[in-house]
Amino acid sequence: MADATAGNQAAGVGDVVEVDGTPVAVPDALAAAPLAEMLRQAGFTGVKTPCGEGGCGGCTVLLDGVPVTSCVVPAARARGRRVRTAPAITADDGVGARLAGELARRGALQCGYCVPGLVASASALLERTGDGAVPTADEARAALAGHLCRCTGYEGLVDAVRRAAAGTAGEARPRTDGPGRARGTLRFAADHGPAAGALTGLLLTAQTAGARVEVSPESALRVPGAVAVLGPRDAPAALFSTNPHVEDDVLAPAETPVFAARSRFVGDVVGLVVAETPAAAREMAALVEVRETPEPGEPSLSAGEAVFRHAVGVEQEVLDAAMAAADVVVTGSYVVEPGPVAALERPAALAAWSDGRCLIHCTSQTPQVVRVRVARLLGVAAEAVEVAPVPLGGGFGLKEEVFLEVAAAVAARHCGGRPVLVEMTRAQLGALRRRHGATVEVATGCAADGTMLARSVTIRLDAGAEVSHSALVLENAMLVAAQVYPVGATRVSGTVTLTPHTPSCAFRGYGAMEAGFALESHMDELVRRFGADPVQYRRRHVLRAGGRDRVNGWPVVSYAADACLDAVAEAAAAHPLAPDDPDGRWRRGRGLAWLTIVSSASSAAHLDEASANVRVDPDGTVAVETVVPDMGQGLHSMLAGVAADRLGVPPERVRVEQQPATGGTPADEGTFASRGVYLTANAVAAAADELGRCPRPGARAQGRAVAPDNGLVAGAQLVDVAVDTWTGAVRVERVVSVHDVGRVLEPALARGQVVGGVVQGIGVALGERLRHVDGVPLEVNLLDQPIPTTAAAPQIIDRYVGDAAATPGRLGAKGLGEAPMVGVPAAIANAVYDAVGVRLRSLPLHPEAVLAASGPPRGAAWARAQNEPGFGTGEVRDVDRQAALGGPGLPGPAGACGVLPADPRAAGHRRRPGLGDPG
Amino acid sequence: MGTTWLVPHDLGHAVDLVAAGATPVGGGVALLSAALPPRLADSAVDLAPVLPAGQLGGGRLGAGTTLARLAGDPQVRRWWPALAAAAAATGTPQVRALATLGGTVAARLATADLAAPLVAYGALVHVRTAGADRARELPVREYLGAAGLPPHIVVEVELPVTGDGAYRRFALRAGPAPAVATVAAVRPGGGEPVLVAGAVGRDAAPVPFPGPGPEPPPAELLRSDARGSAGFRHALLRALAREAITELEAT
Ligand SMILES: Cc1cc2nc3c(=O)[nH]c(=O)nc-3n(C[C@H](O)[C@H](O)[C@H](O)COP(=O)(O)OP(=O)(O)OC[C@H]3O[C@@H](n4cnc5c(N)ncnc54)[C@H](O)[C@@H]3O)c2cc1C
Ligand code: FES
Ligand code: FES
Repeated sequence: MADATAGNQAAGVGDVVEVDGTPVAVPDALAAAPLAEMLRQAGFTGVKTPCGEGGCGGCTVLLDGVPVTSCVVPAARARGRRVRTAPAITADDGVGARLAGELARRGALQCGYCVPGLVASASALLERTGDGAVPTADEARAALAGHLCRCTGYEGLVDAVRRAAAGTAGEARPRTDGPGRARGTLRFAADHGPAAGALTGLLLTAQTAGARVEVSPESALRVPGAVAVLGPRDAPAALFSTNPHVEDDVLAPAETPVFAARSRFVGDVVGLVVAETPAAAREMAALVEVRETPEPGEPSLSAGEAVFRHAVGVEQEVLDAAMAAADVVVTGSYVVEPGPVAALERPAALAAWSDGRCLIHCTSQTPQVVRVRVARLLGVAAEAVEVAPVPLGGGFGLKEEVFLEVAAAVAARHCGGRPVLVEMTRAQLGALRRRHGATVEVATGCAADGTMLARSVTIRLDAGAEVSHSALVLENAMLVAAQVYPVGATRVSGTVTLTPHTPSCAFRGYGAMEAGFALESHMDELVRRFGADPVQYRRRHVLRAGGRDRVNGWPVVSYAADACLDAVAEAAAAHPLAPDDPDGRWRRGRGLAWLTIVSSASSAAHLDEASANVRVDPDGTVAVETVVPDMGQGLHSMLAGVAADRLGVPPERVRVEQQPATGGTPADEGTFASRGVYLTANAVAAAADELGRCPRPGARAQGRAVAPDNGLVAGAQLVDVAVDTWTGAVRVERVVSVHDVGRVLEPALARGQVVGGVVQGIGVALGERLRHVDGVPLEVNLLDQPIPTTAAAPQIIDRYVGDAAATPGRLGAKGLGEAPMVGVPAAIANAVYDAVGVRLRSLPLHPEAVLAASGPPRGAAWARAQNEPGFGTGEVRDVDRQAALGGPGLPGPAGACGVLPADPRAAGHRRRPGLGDPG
Repeated sequence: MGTTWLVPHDLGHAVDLVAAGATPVGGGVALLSAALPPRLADSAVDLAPVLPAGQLGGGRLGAGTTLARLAGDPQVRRWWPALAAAAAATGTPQVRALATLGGTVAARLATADLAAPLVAYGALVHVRTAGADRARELPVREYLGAAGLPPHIVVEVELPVTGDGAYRRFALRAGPAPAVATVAAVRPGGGEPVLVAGAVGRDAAPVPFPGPGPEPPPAELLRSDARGSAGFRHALLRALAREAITELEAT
């Protein structure tokens, strides 16, 4: 290889890349490393790396004017060339600034993690189309096809780009954090690493499950730039619960080691290498010796152990009697496969120690809890740990936990206090976190006219290798199942089962989507069976304000069920389903799903509360102080709006100061459920109300809000699909999304939530999943996930109803964060049934399953009434999912349905554990 | 530490470096993507300065041609429309701006969009290996299906046949996504259609349709994987073939 050196470019001017006008050297050591990594290490915050796979577009920069994904460009390729990143692109006062301005508005971007990259592609598009020419929506979507956004559903982004081209300002006000998110200047957790001169911490993960793990550092420490190798012996022995909400031996046991001495699943965290640079860390990780010795004889996880059981509702005997009295019992078994959460910002934690104090920047939705728990694990006082305020690049539950912070703090302490940034790779994340898998069995006993008399729901959650959120997710799913239709005799029971697979985290809906998919698919089966109208059948049975919460016992005061049903029926009539294609290939169908979900985490046992401060500065501007990060949903903008409104000051004079989580800052648990409005915003309103209108400079008040109930919201989602009978592909063409939110505080933010949630629900319904084969997680990369792209552009009609006066809290508003995703999968499944007459009882609705189930393409149109307020019935054809799955050679869970005789013994009803039976 | 980046003087030098164990780098997209198999060795050879790009005349395309250029080139669109369409359907706009024809062929990914139209147009892959002073030509199907190729560089791709063409693909979502099945239908010199299936075989080599009609190759020849079974792919091929033939008939 003598020639090798001869082939090297001589160091000099050619080694330099001009980035945003600044010359940056590309050292030979980094020549083959991803340009994105080099740019990030050099502090260019407009370059995000959500995937490192080339597929999400988050790292897009302009290389000599051409948009490229810089994570798949060798850094050397930029030598002698010009790179522009979002902050520079948006700095001029031309098209770039207009782009940033429009993207920053309420209803355009959300978390903004995808946006700096998108700005690069959008600016190139506008350059191409020329001054004043406005790309069509289709052209804009095609140009942005290489950008994944998990929050917005793209509509707001595409509209913003087109407005920027037209030079027309949008009507919605800018978000308080909009400009920083749009321009890529706002620093997210990992962006603080380079600025702090942080070392790189790279997780070591297990290749096998159930093995004793030993980490030998020697070979890795020989890598130039190596700093440390940590294994199970280098971390506190204490276990912790990643669930931030409770610590309880049953509900959320201390079960997670910092570094596992015995691997629980493939991908479990067993150690960490620490190096001066990411490249050195990678080299260390490739060299380090991780010995995994199989330890047979502890099959507890592989046995599928149920670790938590719960039941609510009537006693089994009562249920059995009610079932026996029913004219017909309809049963169904429904499956939701686990899938990715796929927030674009990867979980990360940066920790540094100084004078016995630890400062953490992390991607947590619950910073106050992280602070306390990290301190306890590390054996220091809670006051010794501070969690710095950072924005989040999407959460959706993925970051509703205590996780990497502990490893980062341990590593930083090990390295003499030097800052260590731990950021999991996308594939590591794929093996470390997923949303729950669920199997839900529903049996409904009905009178001959279809009236529901008795209902049994059994929910089995597959938690993966940790309990974490699972018991609470199960309880929430059960709460939804018990409430939504207050059938006389209802019994809901459930179990959480551990498996040696990727642990499950929280996900938008916290079990409501999983329960909803089963219940609403089942409702559709009942509707079909009794020849009922889908809206009217639900109207006959839904919970209404004035009813009782069956789990918590309190009266339901705000729940606009009839208004939701009226609105969805009206929209259905106003927008008839399009006819099938004349050649019979694409068949259209319409499906409805009813949904219910909580706004807050209040229960009979614990009332959820929040606090925030409002301060008037000497110049008369107002600051809202909160420790709660904005995940992207626009929480901070909403808090600012609430303060401005209550105080009677112009919105532009109000800002939000996210405060570090310390003992002295507001004790607010964070951002999760749909509690931002119901709790934190009400706390801001309380503080503002204490100050009164037009308060004097220097005034300051603390506000507190306690949610007296869980803020149950109702909703209905109506979906029109076209099913390709040649390929099994399902195209969602229209969604009507109706939500009971009490009062809508910010219409543009509300629409953004709805569109984003609906599109996310389409991905959940149609393809996203994370399977395991022989214990090995399969779809760990982002490239493996059919997350909707800009090509997904259904018409989305949003409607809001509600009784603000009846809604608890000063604002009369409930949450909208989760609901828009929750009903979509069931509505799509019901629409597919309407289109092709096959009932798929397992999510996702993979085209192979749709095709196999729908059989050979047919020609005749399915009879259906189209202009009725509801929409009539189709032919019923039940298909065994197992057969439908065909033979991809991969495990696919089965769903099934049957109509049982009325005798519960014949139906195999067995006694279930009683209320609160321990696991 | 890390991978040493080598910039060759000329093609011969690059071939020698590759023969000595260095990884040839085209666009670098597959090599750097954490989701795709090829990986950089301890040293890497930058092919950009030494590979021809664009049309070289006589139906030859330089291996350094980017997919964006392939998709947009008026000549390619005119003479090899199915290839241009496949290039336009590959990955994202940002990926197409980087990925090269040579790298795409050499990556031998089972889901490659370009593979089926290249076979349909009878493409020959020109490869250079150490010790030979001129390129060797291999039919693309042979190249894609070959096991254990010696270290080499793809220098150019020759398309001996021109003709109307249509290209169709199926993926698990609308928008950029790895293909589950693809079909290229071309009519060499205006004759009977030749149909070739991509992303469905047991290796990276496309599978020809048995005849000019939409009846796909038998399912036994097709692959089952995480994205779909052989049976599903068989059904997809029939659908894609019908669409491609319809488009071809309309041209
Ligand atoms: C996000 C993403 C999406 C994608 N989507 C698609 C898709 O939809 N359809 C599709 O077909 N493909 C897709 N791909 C794959 C993509 O097309 C290839 O990664 C890319 O075309 C490879 O080209 P390259 O020039 O970058 O190759 P490189 O990454 O440079 O190299 C690939 C391989 O070929 C070798 N090599 C490179 N050039 C030569 C040469 N001239 N001679 C010999 N060996 C060489 C390298 O050593 C390496 O082994 C996608 C990739 C990504 C990252
Ligand atoms: S980080 Fe580069 S494309 Fe996702
Ligand atoms: S706004 Fe696009 S990922 Fe959050």
